[in-house]
Formats: sequence, structure tokens, C-alpha cells
Amino acid sequence: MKTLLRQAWDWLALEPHQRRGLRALQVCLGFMLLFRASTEGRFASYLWGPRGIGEGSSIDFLSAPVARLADRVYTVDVGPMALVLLLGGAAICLIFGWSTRIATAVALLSSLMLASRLPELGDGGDNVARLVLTYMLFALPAHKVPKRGSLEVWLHNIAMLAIGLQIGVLYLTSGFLKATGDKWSNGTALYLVSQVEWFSHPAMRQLFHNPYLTTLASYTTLFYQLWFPVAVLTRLRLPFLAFGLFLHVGIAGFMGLICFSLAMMGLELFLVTDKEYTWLAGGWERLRSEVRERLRVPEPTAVLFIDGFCSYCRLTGETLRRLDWRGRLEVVSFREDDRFRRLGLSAEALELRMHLVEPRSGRVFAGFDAVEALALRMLSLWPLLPLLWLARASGQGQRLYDFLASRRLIVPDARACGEGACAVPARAAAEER
Amino acid sequence: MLRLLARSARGVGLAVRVFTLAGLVAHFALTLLYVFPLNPVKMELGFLANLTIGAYFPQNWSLFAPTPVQTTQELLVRCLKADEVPADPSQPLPTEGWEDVSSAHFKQAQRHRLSSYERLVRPLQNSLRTYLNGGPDLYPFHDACAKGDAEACKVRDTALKPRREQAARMFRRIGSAFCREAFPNATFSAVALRFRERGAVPWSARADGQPKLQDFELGLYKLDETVSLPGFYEAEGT
Repeated sequence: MKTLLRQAWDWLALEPHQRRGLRALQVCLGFMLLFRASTEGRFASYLWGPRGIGEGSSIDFLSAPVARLADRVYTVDVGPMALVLLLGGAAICLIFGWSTRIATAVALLSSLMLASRLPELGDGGDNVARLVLTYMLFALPAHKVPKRGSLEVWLHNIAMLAIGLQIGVLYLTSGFLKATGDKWSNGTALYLVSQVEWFSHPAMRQLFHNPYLTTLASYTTLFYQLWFPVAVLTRLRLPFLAFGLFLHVGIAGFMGLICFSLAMMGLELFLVTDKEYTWLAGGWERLRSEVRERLRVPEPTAVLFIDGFCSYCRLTGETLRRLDWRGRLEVVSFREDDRFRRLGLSAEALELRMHLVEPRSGRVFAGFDAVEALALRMLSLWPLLPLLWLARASGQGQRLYDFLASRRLIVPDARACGEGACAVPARAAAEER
Repeated sequence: MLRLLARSARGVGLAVRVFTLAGLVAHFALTLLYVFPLNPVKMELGFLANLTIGAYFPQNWSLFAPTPVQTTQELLVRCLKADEVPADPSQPLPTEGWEDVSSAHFKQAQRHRLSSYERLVRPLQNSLRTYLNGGPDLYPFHDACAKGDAEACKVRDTALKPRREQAARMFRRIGSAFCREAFPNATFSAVALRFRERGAVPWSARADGQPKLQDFELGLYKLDETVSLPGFYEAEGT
């Protein structure tokens, strides 16, 4: 017993815990608050303004004289807007891990102010977010390396314990209350919810007419919540948390509770320990290398000729090489490699535009066509395709490419020169003439 | 001297550690007391939980429990011109021209999951629920009242009155904003409000059952000329 107490004390006193879990929670809460700020911001005056629908006061959480002062923010239209902007700014800081302690305080204060003005707007996600933001005030800033055994380590661990216990209370209460409800125990709860317009989607409604699905879904929700506080202390933690993430993605899609789902997903990710994150990262890295190895082609299927005298072109080539994890692309500088001659290309043409050649089919793409062909070949460049197609449809693609290519800075590399002096690039020489 | 300072710093550190740990235990003991249903311990010490957790860390984790939401409430608005307002409140209101303010939000929220519609309808929907039952803290009083406890009925009615008045003020503002924004060229002087409750079809009748509809009058209110306009009724024209 004494050893157990000593271990518990040391757990709290020596090293900070749940640092990666906390970051995951900060990111999820950041996205949740950013979602709120970006979607509700334009309605700030209507929701919280002096002539808006909210009529609450900050007296719920502040003493009367301070509340009177704080409530002045609701007396002008810019007041609530400023609070929303503060919320959005704090959310961005939480996502990127910038000054997380200040960001937490700002996010907490602004969300408390907005909630006190219009409490009817909030849901369970806002409620739990405010509570964990309060605990997070005592957590270590994102990138801080604390002194072993210091007081701030202790406070951080107490805060982590508080967040964990809050999650436990949430699930335990909800599961316990569900277990006392007849609609949950007779398995029709989710069928009934699926008919409420506010919390359902018409496309999913018919699915819940199926007796097996509706019973399974209702019982799964009930048992998941009831078991949660115990299951997360066992070896089942990771599968249990993974299932919780899946469940809350479903709640976001089916019920439309985006903020609630984001907050809950953050809390589930919080419960993954630092050791488990390291293990998961290792597993992910192994899986990634294995997939890469399996998908890697034996030899490149295309050669991209770039200008090795242009630093920007070299950087582009290097980036493309990194993005091409299947090894299908060979990037060469035509200044150092004269294979292009065998493929029927000229140095003058290569100086004007980069060329992508497929030796097997003999197809050659130049300039903007090469950019487009590269984007089509590489999955990671697919997000650029709409932009490229727009550029092609407007007829400006090749023109824009030539405009940029003709303005690139060319610095000859002595190592690429033959004996004696370097040859002046043909285009530069032509321009001089 | 230095040794004394170091020793007292260690003492303060230890005291802070013990105090925070004890605070954590007390906080979550009170939290459990606050969020759990009424039980003998809560009857004894519930006031402590209300004074601390209820005041500074309010929380409610019923999350569709014990009874899940199974009705859709819709706010119906009838914008009234001066000549349409009945001189005597007992006179019937027009039967035509009622507009459903809630449904447009639901449809948009279902179409655009990553939008604000689900949240923008919350003040209205939560106020409708408050108007109906007063909120989760009154559930035990509703139950006790239904079982014939006169004292519980009295407590419930006393608590319900100001909540209903607050909800009604919310309806008036939302109804007024709708009338002014959806019909910018009309001059209204009052807004009549009612809500429609659409019950779920019971499981046994799921194949061909129809939802049960019931309308409740919320009253006739003077149009609020000052409430800010949200900017979404124009586009909807519900």
C-alpha cells in the first residue's frame, strides 16, 4: 500500500504526463473554437449584441462590480465581435501550439463571456470545453521543458488528472442515466432520436427502421458510456478510444453536432498516453515505409529535365523528388546530364521550359503541360489540379509558366562547365544580342 | 540563513502539493454529487455541490438520457399588421399566413453540416424546451407533481414562471427579427407566436404511422422594432 502511494505521488511529482495527449486536445478544441468563431462571427450582433437575442450577464461567474464592468462589452455592436475575434485568435494559437497558456486563458474568458450572454446557444461540447480549458490553465505550455520534480510539473499533472477525471464523470453520468431510461434499455432510443429534425439526417432515417441496427446502435452507445471509465484503465484503452473516435465522427455526420464531436474526440485523444503515442508513431512509420517499399516501382517511368543553374528549379526538383515516394520520377538537370539529346530534345528548348519525358511511350510534355502531367501523376499534387485546369481553361497556363520561367535567375555552376570558361546560356546570349 | 530559506520553500512546495491534491479530490467528489440523480447523499449535501460546482463549474451530462429527445418543436410566426391585430385578446388569430421559423434551419443544417445553422437554431429550440419543461433541474419536481405531490407542483410552478417569461422574450425577439427581415416592405405592429410539437412515430407503428402534431399558443406580442436582424431570413424567405 505504501509503495502504491509512493508510486502515485511520484507519478504526480516527477515527470509531466500526457503532453502529446494534451496537444491533441488543444488542437481539437482549437478547431472547435475556430469553427464557432468562423461560422457564428457574422451573427455576433444578432446573438450577443446590445439589441441581439441574448440578454444574459457575466454576473454568473464574476462578482457584481466586475460583472457590471465586463457587461459593457455587450453594450456596443463591436464588443461581441471583438470577443469572437479573440476566440478565433486563441483557437489558432491552440492549434499551432503558440503561447498555449495565454491562448487557453483568452479562449476560456471569451467563451465564458459569450456563453453568459446567450447560454441557450451552447451544447455539451461547449460545456466540457470550458471545464477542460479551466484545468488546462495549470498545464505546461506546449513546448516547455520543465525541471524534473518542480512545482509546475506537479500542477501540470494535477491538471491532467482533472481532465481525465472530468472525462470519467462525463461518461459515467451519461451512461448511468441512460441505463435508467426505458428507451435505452428497450433499444429504441436511437430510432426515436432519428426522427427529431434537429438531431438527424433524412438520409439516415430509414436505416433506423431496421430492428437490428437500431438495437445494436442504442445498446452500443449505452454500454460504451457505462464501460468507458473502467475500460480506459485496462489494455482495451486504445481500441476503446478508437471506437469512441469513430462514434463521434458518426455523431458529427448523422446528428450534425460538430462542436460536441470535436470536443469529445479531443478528450479521447487526450487519454492516449505519451508512451502509446510513441508506439503508435513507430507503428505508423513502419507501416508507411512498408507501403512505400511495396508501391515503389523498380525504375523511374518518367524523366523531368530541369535547369540546374536555377536555384528555384533545383528546389522544385528536390521537392518533387520528396513527394514522389513511389520513385516513378527521375529529376535531372540538363546542364549536367545530356541524356536529353538521345531523347530528341535540344538544350535551347530545355532552357526555355522544363520537360517531362516518358521514355517508354515517348511522350514529351513541356512547360505548363509538364506541370499538369506531374500533378496528374502524383497524388500529393492533386489538390492543385482544379487550379491548373482553371489556368488551362482560361488559356493563361502556358503564358504564366513562360512568364515565370523567363524571369528565373540563372547562376552557372563551375562544376558543370567543361574545360576553361562556362558557356553563356543560349537565351541570355540571345537577349544580349 | 540560506538553508532556512530552502527548507521553508520546500515546506511551502509540499503544502501547495497537498492542498492541490486535496482540492482535486474535493472538487470531483462535489462534481459527482452535482451531476448524479437525486439520492440520499445528495439530499444531505447537495447544497454544497450547488454552491460550488453549480455556481462555478456548472455541467450537465444527461446527453439524451434518461429519455432521449423524441419530439421536434417548431416555432410558428404570424406577422400582423395594425388592422389584423385583434382588439380583444380573446378573439381568434388569423388561421392563414403562419410561417415555420425552425424548419428552414433544420433543412439547411442537414444540407450543410459544416455550417452555423445547427447552432443558430439552438437559442430558439432550447428556449422552446425550457418553456415546456423548465430545464433538467425541474424534472424531479415534474415527476413528483405527477404523482400528486402538491408541494412539488408549487415549487415547479414558481421556478417555471420566470423561465417561461424569459423564453417568451426570446420568442418575441426571434419572431420580430423574422417579420422585419423576411418582409422588409411590410409594416407590422405585432407578432403572434405558437409552437408546433411533432411527436415521434412509436416503434410499433414505424411502417405506416404518422407523427402526431400538436399546436400550442405562445401569445401575441408587440413587434420588437429594435432587435438586430440576423441576415439569414432574407435569403430563405421561409
